[in-house]
Amino acid sequence: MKIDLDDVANAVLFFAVFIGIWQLVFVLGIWPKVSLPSPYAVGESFAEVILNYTLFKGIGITLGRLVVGFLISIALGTVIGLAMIKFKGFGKTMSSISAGLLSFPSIAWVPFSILLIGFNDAGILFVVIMSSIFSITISTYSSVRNIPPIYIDAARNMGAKGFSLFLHLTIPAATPSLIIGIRQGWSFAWHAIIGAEILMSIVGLGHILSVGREFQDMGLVIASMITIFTIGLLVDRLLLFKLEEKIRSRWGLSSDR
Amino acid sequence: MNPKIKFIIAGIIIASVIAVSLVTHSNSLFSLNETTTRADVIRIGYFPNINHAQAVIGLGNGDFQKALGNVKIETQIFEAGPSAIEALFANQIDVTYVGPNPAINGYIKSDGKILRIISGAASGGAVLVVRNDAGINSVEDFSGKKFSSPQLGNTQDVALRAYLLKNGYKTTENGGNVEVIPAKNSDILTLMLKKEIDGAWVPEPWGAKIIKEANSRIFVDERDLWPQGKFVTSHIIVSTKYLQNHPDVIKKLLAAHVDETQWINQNKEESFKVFNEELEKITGKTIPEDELQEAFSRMEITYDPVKESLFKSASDAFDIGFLGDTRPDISGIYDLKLLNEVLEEKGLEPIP
Amino acid sequence: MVFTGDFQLTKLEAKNITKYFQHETHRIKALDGINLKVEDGEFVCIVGPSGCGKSTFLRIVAGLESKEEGEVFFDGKPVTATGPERILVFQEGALFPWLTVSDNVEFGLKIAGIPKNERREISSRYLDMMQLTKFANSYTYQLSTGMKQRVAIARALAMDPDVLLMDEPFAALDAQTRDLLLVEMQLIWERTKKTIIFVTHNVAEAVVLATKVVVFSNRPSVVKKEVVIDYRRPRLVEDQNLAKFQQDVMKELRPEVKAGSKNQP
Repeated sequence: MKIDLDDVANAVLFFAVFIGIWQLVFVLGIWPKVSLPSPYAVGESFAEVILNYTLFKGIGITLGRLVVGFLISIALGTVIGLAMIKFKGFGKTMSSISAGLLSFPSIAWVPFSILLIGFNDAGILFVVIMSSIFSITISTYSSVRNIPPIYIDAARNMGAKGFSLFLHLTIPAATPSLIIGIRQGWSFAWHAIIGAEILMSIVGLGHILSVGREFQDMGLVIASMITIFTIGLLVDRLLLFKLEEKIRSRWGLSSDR
Repeated sequence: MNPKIKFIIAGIIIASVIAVSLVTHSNSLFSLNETTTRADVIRIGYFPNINHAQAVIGLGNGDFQKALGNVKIETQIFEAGPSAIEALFANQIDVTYVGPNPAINGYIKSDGKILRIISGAASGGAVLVVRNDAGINSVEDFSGKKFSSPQLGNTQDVALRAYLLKNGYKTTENGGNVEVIPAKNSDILTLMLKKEIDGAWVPEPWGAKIIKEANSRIFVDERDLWPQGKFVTSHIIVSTKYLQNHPDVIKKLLAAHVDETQWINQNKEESFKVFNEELEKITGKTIPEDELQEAFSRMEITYDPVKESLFKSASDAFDIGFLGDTRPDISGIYDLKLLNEVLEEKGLEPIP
Repeated sequence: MVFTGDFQLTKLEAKNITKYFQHETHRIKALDGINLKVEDGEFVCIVGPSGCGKSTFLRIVAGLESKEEGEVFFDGKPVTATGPERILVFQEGALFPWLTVSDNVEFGLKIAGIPKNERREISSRYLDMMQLTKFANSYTYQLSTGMKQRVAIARALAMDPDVLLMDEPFAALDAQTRDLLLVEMQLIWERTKKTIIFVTHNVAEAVVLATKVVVFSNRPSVVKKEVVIDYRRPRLVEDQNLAKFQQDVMKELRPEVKAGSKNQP
C-alpha cells in the first residue's frame, strides 16, 4: 500500500485546522455550550463510551447486523438479478421497480418494518435489506447483460455450458461492474442501519447517537457521528475501494498503468 | 508547501487546542450568543396531551391571548419532552409545558442556568399496563418480559426503570433479563396489539386506550407509589432569560393558567368537550369520551408543582444512571415567586 | 466416414446452408445454399465481398449461429451445437481480461476437467510455439494486438480441435506482424496437421495459406468457385509465382465485389 506523504500531510493539516477553528468558535461562545460542545467535551464523551465498552459493543452490534443484512442483500439481489435476465418480462418490470425503490429513503421503511416484522433485529435487517438490495439487483442485471456476447460465444465454443459457463465466464466478466453496485449497496446499507438503529433499536451505534440526543448530550452526539463517519470511510477505502482497484488494474482499466 | 512544514503547522495547532482544552475544559471564555428576548412576543410550547389540558384549551380558544393583551403568543407543538427542551436551548421558545424528567435533564445540562419551573400543570395519570395474556400475575413474573415507555429518559421511562430496579430486575442493556423498548405512544399500542411487548408504562389517555383496545389491564397505578397519590406529570418551565427580562408577561401567563385550571376542575364535562374540539384542530383527531373519562379519573389538573415528587424522580434517574456520575443538585430549579403572587391575589393557597 | 474417390476423409461438409437476416423491416437472404466439402488436413481459405456472409457461415459451422436450411456434417454426422472439436478464433481474439495469458490458454482445458499440471504443460507448449513464453503471467491488456492474436491461436490449439475455424484473425494487424504470422501459421499447420477453415478478405493472404481458396459470391451468397492452390510450402507473400493464383482468384472475386458495392443497404 503506497502511502503518499503529501496526501497524509494534507489530511493531517486539514484535520488540525478544523479542530483549531472549532476550538476557537467554542471559546468565543458563538453557539451555546449545549448546542456546540468543545472538542474537549467530545473527547470526554469518547473516553466515557470507550472505557465503559459501550462504544465497542455498539460498533460490534451495528457491524454485525450490517454484515448479515448486506450479505443477504447480495445473495437475494443476485438471484433476483439473474432471474430478471432469464425471464425477460419479469426483467423489464423488475427493472422499473428497482429503479424506483433504489433511492427510496431507508427510514421510510421503518414504520412498515415495525408493523410487518416487529421492533427487533429482524425488523432492522428488513430495513437494511430493502435499502440495499436494489443496488445489487440493478447492477447484476445490467452487468450480466452487458457482457460482450463474444466472450460468451468463445466460452461456449470451448465447451462451457450451464453452471460452468456461469461460474467461469458470467461471474468474472460481470465482476468489475458488479463491484460498483456492491459499493453503492454498501453505502445504502450503512445509511439504513444507522437510521434504523436511531428509530427502532435499543443498542448499536445509531442508538448511542439517539441517547446523546435524548439527553441533550451533544458531546456524545458528535462523538457518535465521528465514529459513524470513520467506520463508513474505513470500510469503503480499505476494503471496497481496494477491491475495485485490484479488479480494474487486472483488466487494464486503471488510470495509472 | 512541503509536507514537513504542514505536519509542523498541524502539530502546533493541535498542541494549542489541547493546551486550551486542558485549561478551560468545557467552558467558553466569551458569550457571543446572548439570547435575545422580546417584550411583545412570547413563544409557548406544549403537547397535544390531556396533561397539558390548560394549554390545549387556553391557547386554542384564545383565553391565554386575551389575558396577555398586547403580547403576541406564538405557539409550537411538541410530541415529546426532549424536543421541547432542545427548542428551549436553541432559543426557539420561551416557555413550555413539559414533563418533569426532561426539565431535570435540561437544568443539569445547562448547569442550572437555562430554565426554571414556575408552576405545576398536572399530577398523576400514568399507569403500568400489561396484556391480560402476558402471563404476568405478580411482579415475580417479570423475568424475560418486554416493556415499553414513550421515550428514553422521559418521566414514564424513569418510573418504569425505577420500578424494575426496586423489584430487583435489571434491563437487558445492563445484563439483566427485562427488556425496555422505548417507542412512541401510538407504536406502543401497536406493539401491545401485536403482542410484541408484554406491558408498558404510559401516560393517560394511552393507559385507557390500551386497556380498551389491546386486552390489557392496569398492573400499577402510579398514584399508589406516591404519597397522597400526587406526583408531577407535567409542569411549566420558562427560560431564565425571559423570566428575568419579562416577569410581568410571565405573571399574566400564570394567572391565565391558574384560571384555566380552576375552570377545568369546575366544569369537567364541558371541559372534555372543549378539549376535544381544540385537540381536533391540532391533530385532526379526538379522544373518545369514555377514554377521556377514564383517563381523567386517574389524574388531576392542577397548578401545584408537587416539588417533592420531582426531587424523588431526579434521584431515581440518577440511580438508573441517566444523570451522570455525581448526584445532581437541582435545589434551584423552582422559582414559584410569581405563581404565589398570582395565587395570593386570587385568594388561593400559595405553594410552600 | 464418407470416402471420396481419393480415399481421403471428408472432415467437414456443409450442405445447402441457407441463412436469413432481419434488417429493419425486411428479411435479407445472406446465404443461399452454401455447399462445401473440407477434407481432413486441408487448409481452406474463404474469400468474398464484404457483407457476403463469410463470417456468418463460419459461425454456423462453429455452432454459434442458427441456420434456416441445410446441415453441417462433422466426420459424417450432423452437428448443430457448438463444441470444442470445432474451435473458432475470433477476429478480435476474445481473450478474457480477467485471466493471465496462460490461464486464458488453459480456459477450455479447465472446463474439460483436465488437472492443473497437465494444463500447465499443454499451455506452455503452445505458448512456446507462439513465442510467448515470457508473457505467460501477463494480463491481456499488456499485450499488443499481434500478441493477443497469437494467444488466441494458442488457446484454440491447446484445445486440440479437429477443425480450426479462423475468422479474419489477421485483419487488425500491421503488415509486418501479419507477414510473420503468415509464415508461422503455415508452420503450425504442418506441425499439427489440423483441418483449417480460414476466412479473409485479403486475397494475397489466402493464396499464401490455402490448399484451396473458396470464393463466395455476393449476397445471397453461394460458392462461386473453388481455386486449388497447388504450390510448394512454405510460401512467402512476396513470391512472384503466387501472382498467377491471385489473378485466378481475383477473376472470380472482382465481379462479385463490384456487384456488391451496388446494393449495400
